[in-house]
Amino acid sequence: MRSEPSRALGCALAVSLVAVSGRAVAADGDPCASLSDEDNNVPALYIENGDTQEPIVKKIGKLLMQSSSKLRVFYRNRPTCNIRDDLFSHALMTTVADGATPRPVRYIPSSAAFDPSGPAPTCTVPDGPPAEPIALGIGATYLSSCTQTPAQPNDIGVFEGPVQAYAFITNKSSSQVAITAEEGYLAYGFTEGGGEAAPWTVQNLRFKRGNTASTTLTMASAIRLLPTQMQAAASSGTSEDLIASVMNSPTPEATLGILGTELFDQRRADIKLLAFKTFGQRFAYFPDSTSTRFDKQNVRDGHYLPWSPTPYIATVTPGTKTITDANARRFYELVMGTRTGDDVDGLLQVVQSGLVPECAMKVTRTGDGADLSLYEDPAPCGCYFEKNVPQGTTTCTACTVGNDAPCNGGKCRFGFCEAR
Amino acid sequence: MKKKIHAGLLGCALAVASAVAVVACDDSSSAVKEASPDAGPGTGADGAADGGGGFDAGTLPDGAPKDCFDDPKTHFEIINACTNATRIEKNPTLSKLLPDGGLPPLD
Repeated sequence: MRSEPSRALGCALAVSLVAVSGRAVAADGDPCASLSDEDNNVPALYIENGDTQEPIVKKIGKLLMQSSSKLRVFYRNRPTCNIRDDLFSHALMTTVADGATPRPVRYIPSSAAFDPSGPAPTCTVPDGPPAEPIALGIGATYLSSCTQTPAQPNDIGVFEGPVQAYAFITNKSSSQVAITAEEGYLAYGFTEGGGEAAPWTVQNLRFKRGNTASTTLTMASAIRLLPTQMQAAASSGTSEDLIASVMNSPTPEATLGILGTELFDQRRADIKLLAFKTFGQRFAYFPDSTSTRFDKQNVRDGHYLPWSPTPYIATVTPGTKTITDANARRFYELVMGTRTGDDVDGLLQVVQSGLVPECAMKVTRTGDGADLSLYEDPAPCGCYFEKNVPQGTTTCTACTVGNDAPCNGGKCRFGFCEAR
Repeated sequence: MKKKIHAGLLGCALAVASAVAVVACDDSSSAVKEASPDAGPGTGADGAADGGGGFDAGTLPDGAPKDCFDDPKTHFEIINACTNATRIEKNPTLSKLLPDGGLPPLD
């Protein structure tokens, strides 16, 4: 039993912690290794991720900081192919910029009041070694779309994460509803209005990300172009820059951009997503079953084509497929829903963030732009997915017998009876 | 001559009736549809006839052609599978496309 003085001390500590937490943002710009308002003894995980993956990193990062087994995530947004290069060359988390775009390192504060939908505070890393290793890379498209140098080292593993969809977007005031793949090719493939794909004939009102960013790689392949062939305004350094350009366009009708749907889902009030009709398709479709839902039905069943898995990249124990760094392994297993005995529900965050776990997919493909084929996950989670997306509902039968237990002729998976 | 005109009108009427039947009877057409604001009834966004050349998804009980696949297996069938999702007609006339509808080389 604790004594009164120790209880008082604990109380005082708790109060001061709350006070400190409230000032977490005031630590903006501290060295990451010595945050002035934070407990620097909390284990750290350094991540490099595509900016479309920032929402899920922040959401899981917050839960990890609130977990009984705390883990602090430090992360930096970077284009997917740069992430690949960094992890494949065992790079350290040192200061970096891509052209004129700085890539600040951010961290998840300990405050329970931290809002993952807002910006995380920044901290500084050394300009050169010694520095912390980047323990986990989270890209957002097939690495086969990147230049294949450096080659993948034997001690680096690449694991498929949840599926990320991408889309053409336009200004909220545009009357356009859909775009065909042919229109996308003609609009982006020719300078100015040379492709005659009205109304998207003004090059400075067509926006794209850099040529190594997953958004550009996946969307370019969806319209059979290379990233370097996309004729657009100067590349936007970040997705947020691109959103701002689309929002502030003086000519809404001619405005066209590309964006990850995970980010779009957070900005539906500000921008408009265009339904997409791929080559050989009879109709155009939204990623979701309607323009107002969040169910990613058309991504899951193959009606909506611009998507790719998010590759997780990490050092593995030689001769195995086991991620060496325990904290990186924990983060990946939480995302995949395969970790047991943890007080963080990573899969729920994935589903609620607009990503589609592989277990909820009904189609697959081998690379950007490749044809689809049917997919049956050995442990499907479609019912769980349908139930837990925003506005989610499901007609599946609920079960409480635990994963893998028999259920309605199938098996219980994540609380619902699935066919397998 | 008059006979020819009457036959033409009859043909047109039959075509329109067939199109209506497809929309009315196709099980996938019961889905909510979100018409493109620039699309006229029964036409693409620019007034062009619906595309989908070589589209063979079978026929409805009344013989009208289906516009989606019930049991998709291939890529083409998957992307054109029957669905309850919103489907949007968009078949613009793009003058830069090759005569066979292919993509022109880049400049």
